[in-house]
Amino acid sequence: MMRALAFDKFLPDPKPFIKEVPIPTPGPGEVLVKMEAAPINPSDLNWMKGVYGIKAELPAIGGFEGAGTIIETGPGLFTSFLKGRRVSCIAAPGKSGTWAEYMVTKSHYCTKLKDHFSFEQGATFFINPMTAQMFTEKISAGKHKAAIQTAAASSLGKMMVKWGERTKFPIINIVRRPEQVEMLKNLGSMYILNSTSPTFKEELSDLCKILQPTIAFDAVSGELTGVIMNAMPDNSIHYVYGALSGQDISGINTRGLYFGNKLLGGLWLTSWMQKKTPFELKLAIGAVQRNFGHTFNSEITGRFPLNKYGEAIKTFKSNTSSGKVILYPSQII
Amino acid sequence: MEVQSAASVRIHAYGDFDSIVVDQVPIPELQDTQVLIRVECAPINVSDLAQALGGYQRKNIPFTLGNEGSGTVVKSGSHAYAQSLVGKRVSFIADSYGTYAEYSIASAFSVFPLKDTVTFEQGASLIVNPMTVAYMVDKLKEGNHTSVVIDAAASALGKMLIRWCKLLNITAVNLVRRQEQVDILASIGAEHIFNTSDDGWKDAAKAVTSQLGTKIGFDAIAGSATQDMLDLLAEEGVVYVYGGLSGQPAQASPMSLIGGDKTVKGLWLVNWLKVLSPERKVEVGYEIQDLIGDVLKTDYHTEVGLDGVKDAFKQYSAKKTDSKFLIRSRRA
Repeated sequence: MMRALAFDKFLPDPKPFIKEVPIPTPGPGEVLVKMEAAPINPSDLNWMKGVYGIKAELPAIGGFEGAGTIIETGPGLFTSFLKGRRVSCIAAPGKSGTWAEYMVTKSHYCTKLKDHFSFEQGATFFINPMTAQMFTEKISAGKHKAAIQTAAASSLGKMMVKWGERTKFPIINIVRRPEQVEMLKNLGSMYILNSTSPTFKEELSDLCKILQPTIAFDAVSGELTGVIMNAMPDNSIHYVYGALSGQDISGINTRGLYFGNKLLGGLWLTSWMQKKTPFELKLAIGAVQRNFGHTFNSEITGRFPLNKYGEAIKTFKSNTSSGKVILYPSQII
Repeated sequence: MEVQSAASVRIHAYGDFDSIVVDQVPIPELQDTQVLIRVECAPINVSDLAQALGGYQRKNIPFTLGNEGSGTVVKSGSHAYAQSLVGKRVSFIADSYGTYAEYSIASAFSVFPLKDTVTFEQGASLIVNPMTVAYMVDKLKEGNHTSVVIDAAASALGKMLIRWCKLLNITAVNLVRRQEQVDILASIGAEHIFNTSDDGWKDAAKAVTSQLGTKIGFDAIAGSATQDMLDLLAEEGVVYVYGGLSGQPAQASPMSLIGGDKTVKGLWLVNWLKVLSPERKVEVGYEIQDLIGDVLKTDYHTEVGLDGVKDAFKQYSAKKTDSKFLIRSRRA
């Protein structure tokens, strides 16, 4: 048996609990990972709220990414040599979660952790850097000249800010609070807007005229999505990848859609990864290391053993835009 | 004799139908690719109303109303293709000069020669609705779709799309707002009809689209209708918004977009006409004419002369989809 942080109801204010469950057995192409560190991400909360891309089959174990050691492999020639390897890994959504002492996942959802990286550093290797990688692939595929992102002060947002600074790609960064404006200024961002400012719409519209951003990455949804889409030039693409506002998307000017040929779509890391062949995924992981390798070392605000999850979630909620909150799934104190 | 000016129905103030007046307007010099058309007939479409209200392709007032019509090309600019059209009976989309006039001007590439079997009355409504339906059918064929969701399905355009889908064995799932519209659609042989005013319509419609695996929808309403349609579609579904009858901006659920990998786009005939080659455009024009007798039929309820346009607009704006006006430009 093992201990896992599970949930059995979708609640606006998630209430996970420690549950004793059997240690899972890896099937073909799968591995069993002893989990050492796993972060709390915004998507984890949405998963527990039931407002993630897909709905969990209840009861479910939380946690999408983490790091640990492969201790067992399923049948198959290609997985047996992985035994003993330190890895960063993600869960196979719906089947497993990283907030547990042990997790079964697909072998290609694991990537080797270099010796100089701690489990703690490796735990946040996947979701944010891979998502940022997905964004940059969309940017280059569409030959976009500038972009907009919301929740720009999140860990992911800051990765994009740094990437934009390094590659001289203009990004209009939208945040909600004055201190976040300051934070991004310190990272070198030139275009920062506060969506709660009374002049936000005009500033956004002015910046859009100058920079002509034709792609947006939006973690917020709600009314903000409509405001941004209406401000962007014709032929723009607006990707929603989260719903931090908890609201449905509204306010999209219909003329922008048909006369302006604008598009509203969604981006979801899981589905993006699933569409890639294992080889393409390997290439993408390589690109992640090149593009975002130096940003892995994102600061950590809190470290908690699994049974202190309540405190961990509280710390996470009060500090969404500073550092990471890490759970130690194999530690119970 | 060279035509110097034309009686033209102009609007002098956006949103004020009383400012619609028949003026004698000078005809400008033709550019190389333009043709001068002696207008026979023109319809009043929703887009004409929207334009008069100032919500669609705003022009400097006063301007001549009307976006499509039929007539005979009487003169052309120097371009060879424009010259080849002189003397032909055509359907056309007007340039800056509207169609509610004795004479109108169009780009030679916005002109569709009419078959002998097609009357000026039928030819007047060849483009805005039928061509938009042809664009939708093009999308359906392109994606190998076997089913589609249509809202405002009882509109003239909706009925055309339903009939054309039937011809292609594409199953249409039709959404309307009122019982009499359910009856109208049933009478033209539509299969799946849902009244969005009924309780539980969405679950019932979802049961059908789930079984069909429908991945495409055409939305003329926007507002919450966009979100509803998005919810009805299977994963990777696309909603094409082509109108905003609700007057509301479009809504969507983030879940549909992210987890369902669905998309909301717009669909506008003009964007299609821009990318089609002139040859393909003429081809599509002929394809449509083959279907104009039944599939793409436009029923006119009332005919008026140029001096009747003002009152027609007043009546049309009050009723919207249920009455169709035909304007005859030539005085008897």
